[in-house]
Amino acid sequence: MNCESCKNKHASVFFADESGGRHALCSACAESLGKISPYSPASEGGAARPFIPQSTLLALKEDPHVALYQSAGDDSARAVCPYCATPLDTAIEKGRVGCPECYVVFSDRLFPSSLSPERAKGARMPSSYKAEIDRTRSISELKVKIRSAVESENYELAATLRDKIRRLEGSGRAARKEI
Amino acid sequence: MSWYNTEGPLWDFVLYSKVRYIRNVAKQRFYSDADRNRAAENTARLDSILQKNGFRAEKVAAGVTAQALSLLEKGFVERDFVYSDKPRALYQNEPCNLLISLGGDNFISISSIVSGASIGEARNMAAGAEELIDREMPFAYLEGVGYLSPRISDCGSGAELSSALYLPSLRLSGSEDVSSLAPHDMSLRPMMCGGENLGDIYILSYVPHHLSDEESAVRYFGGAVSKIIEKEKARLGMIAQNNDKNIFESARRALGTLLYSSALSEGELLRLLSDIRLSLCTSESRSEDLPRVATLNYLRAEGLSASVILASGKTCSSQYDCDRARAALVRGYIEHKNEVKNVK
Repeated sequence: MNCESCKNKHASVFFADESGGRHALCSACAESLGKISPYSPASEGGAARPFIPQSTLLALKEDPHVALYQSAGDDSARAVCPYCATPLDTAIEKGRVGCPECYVVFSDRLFPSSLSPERAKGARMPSSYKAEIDRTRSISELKVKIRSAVESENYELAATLRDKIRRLEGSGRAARKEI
Repeated sequence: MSWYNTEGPLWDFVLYSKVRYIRNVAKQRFYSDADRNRAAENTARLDSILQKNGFRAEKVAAGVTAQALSLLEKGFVERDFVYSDKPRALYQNEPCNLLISLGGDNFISISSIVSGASIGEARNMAAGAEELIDREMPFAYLEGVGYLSPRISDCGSGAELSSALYLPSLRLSGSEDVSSLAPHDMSLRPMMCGGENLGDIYILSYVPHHLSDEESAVRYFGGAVSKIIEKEKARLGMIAQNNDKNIFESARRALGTLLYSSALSEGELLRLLSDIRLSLCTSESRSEDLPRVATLNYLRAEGLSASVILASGKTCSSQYDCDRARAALVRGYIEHKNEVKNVK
């Protein structure tokens, strides 16, 4: 993907703006537009690191998968986790990360595509995660039901189902805001 | 922990079975990277959860103490717990054989250690405690990766199934190919004391995949333990046929040394206990005068260097004092309490 600003160089900085729109810039444009600080904190040994505006961080907290990170080419070593500021190169070198979100942000670099989502029935997982899976499944089922209710012109049932979906989606958003 | 004074299945060969889960808290920095306030806050929150549910807090002083090293020697805590500079805590639930440590690289370590080959029981206990904490403080987990840890290589099920196995035939037969005994995805390694393999104890461990069914993993592990024990019994049978008298004599000599020596090194103690245990395994009919397996297990755990220093109130200023204290401990149990009872 090419940089959306200069349309010339390879994009290596990806981020979300306040309205949730996704952007891709090359490192030079990102730096000139203030998305990357040319100066790094002294504690980081002088290596340049991305600067993350507060608005972007808030957007990321709403949706951790809209991650700001540099993913390709020569700039990969400069990628950092927007939550704990752990640099990707340090994570790879030391085999350690700083927070659970590092795994989301750096997932494609730390874990190649060989990961399989197939899980055995008795596999252990946290109860909160099970609840999230159940919630997502319930929403999908309700959406199917709402479609058939609309098709059969049963608008009263459709409205009830819509309210249920809103409640379920709301509970999911509330849980994410705790991050 | 009471694993050494209650009898379990295949107790002659399996000292204990252990299941350990390592977990970290979701939606916040890993404990090793968290600031001290956040670390103390999390520890206090878990303290109230655990104390409400029948866990007893153990006093753990800061720094690398004899107590922490003793817990490490016994396999109750991880190495990074001992060397951690963050707040740390230890909780026991004796009736359920549960031990939970907070601190170290991974914030929460839940262990269940039970006597003999009872890996299923250990797993049930550990899983119960894990669910209890997860309800109150959700764990860091990611689809496709599993339970998350600050160490990338530790991500996955976060579970480890292990057993301490007594396998004297390996030394007696001169066999060094230990790894061939365990299935290819398990590890069998000697339990090291002071950099040496002493006492013929080996640890078989297995880390199940986070996408696999845990009950199947437990059954698989139990099957591997049974197979290793079967092979061990067959080898010991052959050794006993050819060498029965010598085995019994060496046990008698070992008992005499334990009773009359004024100072005992850690290595010497472990070797002598192994000789007695071998006699119990191979010639049960002549074992009336020998200490019971419970006593041997107890002495093995309590005779380790850090434990001895701790038991004698840290008064052991030299190695010789430590060895004397160890000899006194052993004599006390063999002469006066041939059976270990109500060990705390």
